[in-house]
Amino acid sequence: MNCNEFNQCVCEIIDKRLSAERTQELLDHATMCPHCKYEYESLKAAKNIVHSKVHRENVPTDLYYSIVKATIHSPGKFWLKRFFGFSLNPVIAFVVLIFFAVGIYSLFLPTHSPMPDEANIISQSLKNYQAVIGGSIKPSMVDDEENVRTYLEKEVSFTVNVPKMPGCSWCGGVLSNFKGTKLAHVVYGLGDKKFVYLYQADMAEVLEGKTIGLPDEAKVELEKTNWYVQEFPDSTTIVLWKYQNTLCAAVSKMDKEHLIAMFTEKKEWK
Amino acid sequence: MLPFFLAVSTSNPKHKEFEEQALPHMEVLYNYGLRMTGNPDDARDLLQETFLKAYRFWDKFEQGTNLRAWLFRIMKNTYINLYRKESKEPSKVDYDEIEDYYNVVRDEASDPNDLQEKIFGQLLDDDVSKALESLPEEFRTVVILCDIEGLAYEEIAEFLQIPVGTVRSRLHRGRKLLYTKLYDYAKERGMIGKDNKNDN
Repeated sequence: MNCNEFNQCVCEIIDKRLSAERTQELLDHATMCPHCKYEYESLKAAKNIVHSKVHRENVPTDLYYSIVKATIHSPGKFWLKRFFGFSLNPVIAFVVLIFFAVGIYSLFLPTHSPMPDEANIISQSLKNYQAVIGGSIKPSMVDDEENVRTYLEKEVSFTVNVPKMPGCSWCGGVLSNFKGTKLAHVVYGLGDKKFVYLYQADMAEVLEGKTIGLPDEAKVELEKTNWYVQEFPDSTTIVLWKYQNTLCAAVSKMDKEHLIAMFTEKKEWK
Repeated sequence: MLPFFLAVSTSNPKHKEFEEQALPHMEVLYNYGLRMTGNPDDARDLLQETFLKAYRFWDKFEQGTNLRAWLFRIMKNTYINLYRKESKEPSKVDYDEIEDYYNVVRDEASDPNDLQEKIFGQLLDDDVSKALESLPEEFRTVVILCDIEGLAYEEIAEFLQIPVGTVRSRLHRGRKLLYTKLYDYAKERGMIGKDNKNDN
């Protein structure tokens, strides 16, 4: 064994790519050779420090959706080409597609129009959650939980849910008005720029679906089990449930079991 | 329920394949982009561009081959086109200078174990990120892929289309260079005193 041989294998010892016998043989050399020992310890220190101090990041939710939208959900020319047999200008293709889709709907589903994305509570909640993370939505009511709940309840037609959340810091509440429908929002902090965002609306208005609504599958699931959960690949979870005459939607970056557990105990401020 | 036009588009086999196979690699690519560009805005642009290209050329991907390596090569080429237009050659490093400086550090430093625990441990996460970003690209890439993403030498070799031996030697040099950078940061911040070498 010489220093040159040791140097060629030093990273493989650190990355545990060698057999136990070979590793021991090389490390035995290092105990006798201060230069090789230093080489081994310093490279191992470099690896460990990078591993412990450089953290992996999740893909931001809005970025994930913008990529999904631009690729697999784009009404682009790929399937049109297959369908029509030639390529269309994307703008013309899109217009044709919209007319086609509207035509089909008017023929077969005359009493049911598709819900616009902006009226979908799930989309609204995810968008608002991103705005909370990004700092563009900041709770305007930062009094204590009970006062905020009392104030919100004076303004809206439903019972406002402001649960006690162990391990979370109270951030505050916001009242908003979406095309005449009043909504309540409360935010809790989880530390390290993580939040739990709670969107609330009048259940009767949601079921009526005039200004805001839910996708059919969520409505069916809520009717059946009182809960609806959807997880997204970027680890964002949304949980919807009925609370008295209120529809609540909680969004956070935590697994569904954990998020549901936060709202299943009876710990409201009332 | 999806609006009609979305439902039609997702029923396309190409969309389905892309969704099932390519999208799960988004996180590893985002993190690589973040470390290569050094800022989230550029990493976003790089990731979007990479996936749009991958989608556009999905028909060219040979099913059964390493998709992550294919996506990674698209990202690397996109990175070169977007951020390194001025120089397409790998950055040249005078490795003898690194070696000389490393020897100086070795002579004046105490036990690296001691350095790691007592001094490097005090460095801010940002310092370590900056030290990593300052590495020449060919070394930074292998250090990111091995030490942050935890990929095997063989997979890194496939990504970069270089022999495994080259991965090993770049990793060795990259870690050595990183160690000297971290030592410099620690010294600049007064974490290493003049009489440090006498501590042991």
